Amino acid sequence: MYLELAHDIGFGPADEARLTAARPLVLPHLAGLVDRFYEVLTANAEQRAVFEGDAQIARQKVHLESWLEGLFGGVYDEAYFERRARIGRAHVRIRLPQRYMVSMMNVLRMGLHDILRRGATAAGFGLDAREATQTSIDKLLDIELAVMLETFKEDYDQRARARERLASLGQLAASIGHELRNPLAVIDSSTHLLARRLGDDPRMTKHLERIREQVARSNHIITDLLELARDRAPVREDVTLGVLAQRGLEGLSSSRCTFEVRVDPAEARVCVDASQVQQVLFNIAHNALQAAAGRVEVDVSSVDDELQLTIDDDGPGLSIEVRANLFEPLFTTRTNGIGLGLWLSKRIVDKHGGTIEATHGPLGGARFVVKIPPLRPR
Amino acid sequence: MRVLIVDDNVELAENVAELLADEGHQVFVASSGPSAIALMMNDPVCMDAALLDVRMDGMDGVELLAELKTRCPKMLFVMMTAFSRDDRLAQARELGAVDILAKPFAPNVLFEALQAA
Repeated sequence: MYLELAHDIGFGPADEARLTAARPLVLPHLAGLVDRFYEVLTANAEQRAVFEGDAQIARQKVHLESWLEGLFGGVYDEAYFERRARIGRAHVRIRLPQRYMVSMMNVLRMGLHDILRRGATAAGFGLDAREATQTSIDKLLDIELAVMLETFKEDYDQRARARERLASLGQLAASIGHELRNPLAVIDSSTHLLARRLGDDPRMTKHLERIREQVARSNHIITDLLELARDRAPVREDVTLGVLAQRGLEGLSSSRCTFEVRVDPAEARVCVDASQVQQVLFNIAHNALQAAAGRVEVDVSSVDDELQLTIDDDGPGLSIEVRANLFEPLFTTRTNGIGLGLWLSKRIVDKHGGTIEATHGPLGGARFVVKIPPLRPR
Repeated sequence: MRVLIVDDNVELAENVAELLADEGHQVFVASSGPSAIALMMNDPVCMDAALLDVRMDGMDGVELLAELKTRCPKMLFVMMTAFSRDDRLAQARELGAVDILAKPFAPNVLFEALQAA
């Protein structure tokens, strides 16, 4: 496909020869162009937010310089363009907005033109040769841009297909979910009856407690599956922070983690869809417990009637790629996760007109902050 | 308190009955709407409260509520459901259901619902 595009654009052996000839002139200036590129890129807050810090930018600079060097490599076959498409997919994975791809490609184009303009005479290029080489660079960068944009389209199509699959899966999951709640109710009530009959044997108590926790967890998974099928608007009601926290975190604990919950103040009232917000709280806190090394802190508060949930863990944190895909359906880093919790949580928060953010937290791991504003009269 | 429990999931109805009996309530169990009505016909005194499953084959919990309400207007009704959002729940509330328990529910939630009833 890319070779066909090269043909349509008129990129041929003469262009390949010109780019190869320009290689000794361009190569010494690529590091400077890369620095200029990142200067422009990180001047924009949204683009800068894609990167985790200076160390990551330094790594990306090395990749970009190698990518630029590839432009003057002299071989532009299907394998070359496939390698370039893989780099495009890496940009998709970190969710770099597509429009920046276009503007930043232009920064490279102008930079390469500038290098040629300044160095051509000394390198023995006449005006005609310089202009012809600039045109060859333009043609190749047009193809490179098309390759990059194609990877965004691939990603868009893939996600559209995933959403369609989810919609039909949701219908099936919902009916199974309802059916499972009845046996879960029997198991749960039987554990309570057994607990009354068995007395105080600590081992029995521990195992009954485990069964109850797993029932609660299963029930939350069912709730997620039902939400997947339903996609309903929130039904707001007055509820206290204490009730939200207690019901949202019910069944969550970990033998290897300190689980600290602060609710401030417990009697403060917020107007939200309680069952949906409890689902959000459960999903994020459950993930935190799974990721944590030994500590999870949950803070539930209300500021000017805005509900705020902050969940911190001391786990490994979120890589740039994970952070970029956290809220995608079926995205999970756990072998036993189904990748619906955070996606559904974001959908719920969005429908409340709120925000959900994942950042680096004070405990060394991830921090999730959910903010849900009160309903304002129109 | 004399409590009627109606659920076509017999094991759940029996467990709920046992939990309530432990609390000192007098419990009666039926596995369908018609059998609940038959049980009530044979009982000259209206019960204090009924726990009704919403989704049952044949006569569902809301239809049963309407039927029982005409016979025993002072009886208090609590619904049980596996569906967190169910069109029938709004109708149950309109007909006078005082609470709705989402399955699976903890015993204290059950006891509180009956206390409120």
